[in-house]
Parts: sequence; structure tokens; C-alpha cells
Amino acid sequence: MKILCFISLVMILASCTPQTPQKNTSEVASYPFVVEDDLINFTHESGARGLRHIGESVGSGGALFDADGDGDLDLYLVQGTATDENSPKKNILLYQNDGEFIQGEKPCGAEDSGDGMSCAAGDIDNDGDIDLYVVNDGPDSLYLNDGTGHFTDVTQERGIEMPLFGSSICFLDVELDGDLDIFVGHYIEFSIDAFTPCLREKLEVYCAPKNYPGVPCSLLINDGKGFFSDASASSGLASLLGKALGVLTSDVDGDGDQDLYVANDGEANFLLLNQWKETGEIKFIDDAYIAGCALGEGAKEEAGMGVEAADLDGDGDEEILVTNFEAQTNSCYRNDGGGMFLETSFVNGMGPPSIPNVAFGIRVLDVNLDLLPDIFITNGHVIDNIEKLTTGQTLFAQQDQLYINEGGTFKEVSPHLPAELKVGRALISGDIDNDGDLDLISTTWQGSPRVLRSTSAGSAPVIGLHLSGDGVSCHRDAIGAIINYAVQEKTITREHRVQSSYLASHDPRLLLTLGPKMTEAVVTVKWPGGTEETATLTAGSYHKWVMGKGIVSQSQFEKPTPN
Amino acid sequence: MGSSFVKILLVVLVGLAPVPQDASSTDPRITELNAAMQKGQFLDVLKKGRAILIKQPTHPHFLLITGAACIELARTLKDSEAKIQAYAEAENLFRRFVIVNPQHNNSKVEQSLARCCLTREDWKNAKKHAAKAIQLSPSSTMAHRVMGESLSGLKIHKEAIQSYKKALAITPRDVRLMQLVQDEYRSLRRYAEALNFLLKQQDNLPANNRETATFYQLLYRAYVSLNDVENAQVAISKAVSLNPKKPTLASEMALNLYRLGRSEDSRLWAKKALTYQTLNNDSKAICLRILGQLLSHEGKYQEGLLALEKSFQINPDDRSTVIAMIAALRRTGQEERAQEFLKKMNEMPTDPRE
Repeated sequence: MKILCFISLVMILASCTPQTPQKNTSEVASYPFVVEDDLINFTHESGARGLRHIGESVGSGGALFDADGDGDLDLYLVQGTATDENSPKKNILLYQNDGEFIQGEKPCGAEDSGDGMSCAAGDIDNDGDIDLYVVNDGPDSLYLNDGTGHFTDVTQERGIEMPLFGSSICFLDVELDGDLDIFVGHYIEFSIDAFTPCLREKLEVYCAPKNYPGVPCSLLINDGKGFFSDASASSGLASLLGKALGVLTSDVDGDGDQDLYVANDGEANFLLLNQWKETGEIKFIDDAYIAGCALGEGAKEEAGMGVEAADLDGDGDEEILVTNFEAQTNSCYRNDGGGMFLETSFVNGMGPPSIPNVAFGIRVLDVNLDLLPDIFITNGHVIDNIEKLTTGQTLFAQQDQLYINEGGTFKEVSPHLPAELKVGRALISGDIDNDGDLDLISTTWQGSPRVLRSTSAGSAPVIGLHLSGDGVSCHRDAIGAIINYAVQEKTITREHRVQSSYLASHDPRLLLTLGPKMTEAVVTVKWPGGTEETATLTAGSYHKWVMGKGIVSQSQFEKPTPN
Repeated sequence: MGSSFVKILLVVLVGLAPVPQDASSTDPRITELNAAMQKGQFLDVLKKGRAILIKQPTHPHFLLITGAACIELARTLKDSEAKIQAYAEAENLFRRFVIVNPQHNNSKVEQSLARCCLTREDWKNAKKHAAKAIQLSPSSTMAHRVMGESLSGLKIHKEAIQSYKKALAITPRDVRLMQLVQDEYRSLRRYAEALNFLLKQQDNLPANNRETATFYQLLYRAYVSLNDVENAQVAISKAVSLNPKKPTLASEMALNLYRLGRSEDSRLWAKKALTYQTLNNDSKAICLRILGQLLSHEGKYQEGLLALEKSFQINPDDRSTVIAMIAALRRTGQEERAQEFLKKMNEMPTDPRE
């Protein structure tokens, strides 16, 4: 008996491991944006038919531009693939008329039949109207505008042959010869025939990009007449395999030519330095790792989606912002000059609020007109059954986020009154009501686009600016122009670009905020190529500034509509 | 929890145990070894037990007490090879006991055998012994726990959770069991369920502050897994208030404050954590990295570099440290070294992504 008692005692020790809806006007006006979810008659179709092909989860985008030249913004929306195999899908162009976005009676000619992802609007042939390039999961299309908002498909005759799974796109003048070249981001290599479903917890989910090989981005060089040759191989881009989702132009090294930044999904991001100024050759070198903008917080390859650049700290150069997946912060690469970036999302307040969300569209804009650029982000998960997988902890539809710049740090605030959650994707900016503030349109997965109408018009003096190159030494879109103006003893610097964010092409006009009592400002434009011009511009109007001619027209802002 | 805990437990248990009046009780060697076990003199017990077993190789009492001493010693060993050998010897002794007493009905013998199997990652046999232990004593916490650990080893995570929960039903305030349940949920990537589980345990918190602090540390990690750094901060603050001298709590506090952008507070906690002699190397490297990163963000790259280099010396595989070093090296004009570190970083394995 004693043995057994002692045995019991010993065994206890042996096995005990000692280890340790409707609101009043004033309330509405206190928010930077008013949500209008029913303004646009369009429903995105992802093509989801239950098989969960990755491409279904990431689209689609659009463009805000004046298609018919009537002075207001029209909206081109890219459609995915029809959910019903037998019903054809079409992209749509909605012309704006008295504040309403309506489809024309006749087809616009750019309906496109591809599995659409994004588009870019720009004057490809330098004829003074805005053309369209549509990026598809499959062959892309190029449409030329006849000046009235009607388009002709010129894809083949202009030398465009882009069959890969495309994502975002941007126009730029690579070799500063006065025309627009095209940079197309490509996502992954995906074959329906080789598709195998991915499971989580025995539940079929959209596969992560790591399951597919990466592909190179492409560069199409314009011959000056709107005909293109593929320079992907000769420029060095063909050897860089990535999974591009967001792309933008920025003269990162300040040498006067346009560099490119590419947000890759699950891979290191690219900082593609244009070698034109240095060597006179069309070549790009990826410098992201050593520059410090390849990886996210924690030195991880993150799920780069949207991308934006802006001078957030007022030192004259642009920070780069990248939106990422949940459990990752949205990245903010502070530009320290000399080709050096430092990821700062955990020290500037942007990090923690971004961690729970899957962020896509991003836009930097001065929402409160306090001269400090703020950041708007639209979120939405990619796994449609995520709620089941996380017992409701993570939502598929997610909130919009606004980060207010408090002079070096950011504070998250509600951008608008509580509204229905959406599965956000692209974020497109433009002054849709011409009242002198920047409105936003976010596209939503299998939903209607959300209009976010800014309430800031009239709260501070603002100059509107529409730049136009001469069409000879500088392309009409003037992408890459540097704008400087002085306010309150500091110089504000802006670099002009039209495509950024995620699958988005923005209103090409700029809005320059002034100090509270200012009525005008001396504005300097450094055009691509290096020519500088200066003019004094008055607040309260849009100014069309043509290179070599100065201000050729001026139109007053519309009165802000009561909220 | 170390030898002092073992001693206290022994005293308590011996105090409770009845004194059997059988032949063995008159053996003075047993009294001597019992006393030595109580004092935590495991090496002494082991030596004497071995000597006795040479002459009496099948004596059940000496087989078990020597085996138990072996396990206690194994736990204190840092050298993994020696540890494995010690467990192997213990297993040998317990097996001999079973051969001699094939009809034994002592669940704890099976629990010990399961523990030895777990140590050498023999999950199948561990499970077999755990099952027998449960059969012999269905209300034994430890029997269910070793079953859970066996199932975990076999990657049958859902069933492991069930076993741990059975153990918890018997001993509801056992924080270690709560941690094991949380680990299984994490293996299943069921972070939300892990959190819900822990939140439900809040009614069963242990009476002592140290254990409760460990619970809040678990809760902190559960929130971090769900990207909820705000609630994580509440949990880690609570843990720190309950056990202010636990070094890993200070380093986790520093890390979460860094995530929250509370740079000054993060710096203070990192410095505080580094004052602890017993701070483990991983935590030390993290704290030094945080200090280096904060200095770099302020533009003090030279000072930042010093902290980052120390961090790198402790943990050369941390990509965050290396990338922060590259940034600091470039900004202090050390381009060549920056390139060297870039090369190093590109050779490092990346974290597996979801």
C-alpha cells in the first residue's frame, strides 16, 4: 500500500510539467464626405460562378475624365465578367449631365468584351481629346476618342498586343519625347485548365497569389503618332517577375524623368528607376530593396494593392504609400531624399488602424483644406466567405477610412456618416460637381460604385488647375509636371499624375489649397522636359494652362450644393 | 515553477498520504529516498536508486522513484542530448515496472510513460499510454493533458482541444492548459475561437497574480493574432500590473506600444525590459531593434545603428533588424556595408505567407 501511495506521489510529480440614414444638414456637413450609393446605375460583375478563380476577386476599376469635352467629368466603369455565362458583359461610359451620370443613347464604342480590370484615360495621339486604354485579364484594348465621347477600337492597328492578366496601368513619357507611353502592370499567370481549388477549414476559398507564378510588367513606347512598340524586353522589365496590382509614376530620384513604383501582391515591390536621363536609353532598374521601399513593416513581402505618392511631410519630395492585406499595415515609405526611403507606418499613426482591413483604393487629398495632405482608403476583403471562416470576426465588406494629417502624424477619423459597408476596390478622384473640392468614387465588388461627395468646397480658397502640354515637346496630359506654389512661408510641391491608387484613372485637374485669407498665388510649373513657367492664379476658378501659352481659359467653380 | 514548487507539492502530498503498514515501510532506504525527493535532491535519489536497482532490478518502488528522479533531473537539463538520455532512462525504468507489474492499475505510471514518449516525439505510443492513463483514471487532469499533447503531436488539433478542455473541466484554473488550448486554435488558424475561448476563461482565473498575469499575456497574444492592437494593449497592461517583474511582459509591452505608435512609451519599456538579467535572447533582440528603429525614425542613425547591431548580434536572422540596419548604414554613408547586409537579407528565408 505504501508503495502504491508513493508511486502515486511520484507519478504526479513526474507527469506535472512545471511550465508556465437621414441626418440634418449640420451633422452631415461635419463629415468630410456625403455618401451617395444610388447615384450610379452600374453593378459590377466579377464573373463569380462558384469556382473562385482568383481574378474574380480583385476587379474592377474605372476612370473619371471629360470624355465629350463639355467641361464636366464623365465616368467610365470597367466591368468584370458576366456572372451569367450567356449574358454579355460591357464596360460603360456614363456621361454627366446636370449632375447625373447617364448612359448615352448610342454605344460609346469602348464597351469592350474582355474580362475587365482597369483603364487609363489620356491623350494618346496628342489630338486634344482623351483616349482610353482598357486593361483586361486577357487581351487589352486601346480606344481613340473622336472628341465627342465616342470611341474607336484601334488596338491592333496601333500595335497593342497585351494578352497577359493585367491589373493597373499608368501613362508616362518615358523618353521625354512629348508623347504618352504606356506602362501596364500584370498580375499573375493563371490558367483555368490548371486550376485547383484552395481550401481553408474544408471550405473553398479564393487562392492566395502565392499559388501562381508571377509575370513581368510591360512597356509600350509611343512613336509620336499613337502607334506603339513593345519595349518590355529591351527596357529590362521582362526579366522582373512580379505580381503587380498598383502602379504609379513619380520622379523619385529627381532627375527629371519619370520613374515607376509597382505594388506587388505577396512579393517585394518594385522601384523602377528610369535611366533615360542618365544614359539616353529606355531602361529601368529596380532599386526598391536598397532604397528601402520593397518590403512592408516587419521586412515582409506584403500584399501590395493600391499605391499613391504625395509629399506628406512638406519637404519637397514624395512619400510612397501602399495599401496591404489584413494583419499588415498599409505602408508609408518616407522619402528621405537621395533615393532613400524608410517605412514609418507604426510611428506616424497610419499603422494600427489599417491592420484589421484589406485595403485597396487609396488617394491623398486635402479633405479639410488645412494645407496638409490627408489619406482616404477604401477596404474590402477578397475572401467572400471570410465571415464563415472567422466566425464573423472579419467582415467581407469593410469600412472606408480617412487619415487626417496632424502635421507629421495621422489620426483615423470617420470620413462620412455611418453607411452600409462595401467591398471596396478602386478609388477614383475628381471634382465631379466642379465646385472646387475633390470628390471620390469607389468601385465595389459585385456592387454599385459609391460616390463620396466632398463637403469642403468654400471652406478655404482653392485654385483649380488644368495643365496641358503643347503636344510637341510635352504631351497634352503633362504627366510628371512639377507644380510649386508658396503658402504661409512654405513651398508646396505637387507632382502631376493621373493614374494611381488601385485600377484607377483620376480627374486630370489639380486643386491647390491656399491659406485662409489668400486670394491668389504665384504658381510655377516645371513641365516634363524641364521648361519652367510661372503665373499668378486666383482662387475660386479652374485655370487651363497650356505650355508656352499660359492661362488660356478660366472657369469659376460651381456653387457648392447644400448637403 | 521549479524545484521549489516540486518540494512544496511533495510536502503537501506526503502530508496527505496515509502511512501504509506493509513490509516496504520498514525499509529504511525508502524512507531515505522519500526524504531526499522531498528535499529536491534528485541526483542523490537517482544515484542511490540506480545502485539499489543493480541488486534488485525489479523492485517496483525503486524503479518508480528512480524513474521519477530521472524525469525531475531531465527537466533541469539544458543540454538537449542529456535531456533525451535522462528521459530515455526514466522510460526504461517505468517500462521495467510495467513488465514486472503487468496488471498494475496506476494511471500515473502510464502518464509518465506518455510523457517520456512525448519527449522523443513518439506521438503514437504517447497516445497509447495516455489512453490507458485515462482509462485507469478518467478524472485525472494530467491523463487528459498528455492525451492532448499526443494528439497535438499527431496534428489532430481538434481532438487535442477536446482533451485539453476535458482537463480544464477538472482543473478549471490551470493557465498552462488554457495556453495549450490556445496553441491548438492557433495551429488551426482559428484566432477568433482562441480569443473567445480565453474570454470565457475569465471567470476561472487563478488566485495568484503570477498565473493571472500569464493568462492576460495569453489574451494579449490572442488579440495580436486578430490584429486588435488596442485590446492587446489593455491585456498586456493588465498582465504587467499583475506581474510587473516578468521580463517578457516588458518586452511585449514595448513591442505593442511600438505598433501603436506610442514611441516614447515603447522606448521606456524596451529599456526597462533590457535591464532584466533574465530576459531571453529573442526578447532582448526585439527590444534592441525597437530602440534602433525609434532612433532611426528620429534621424539619429548613428545611435540607432549601434542598437541595431547589438540586436543583429543576438538574432542575425531577423529581417526587420537587417532592413533597419541597411537604412541606417546608407544614411551614415556606409554604402558598401549596406550592400553586404542587403545580400545577407536576400539570402534569409522569408516568412511563410498565408
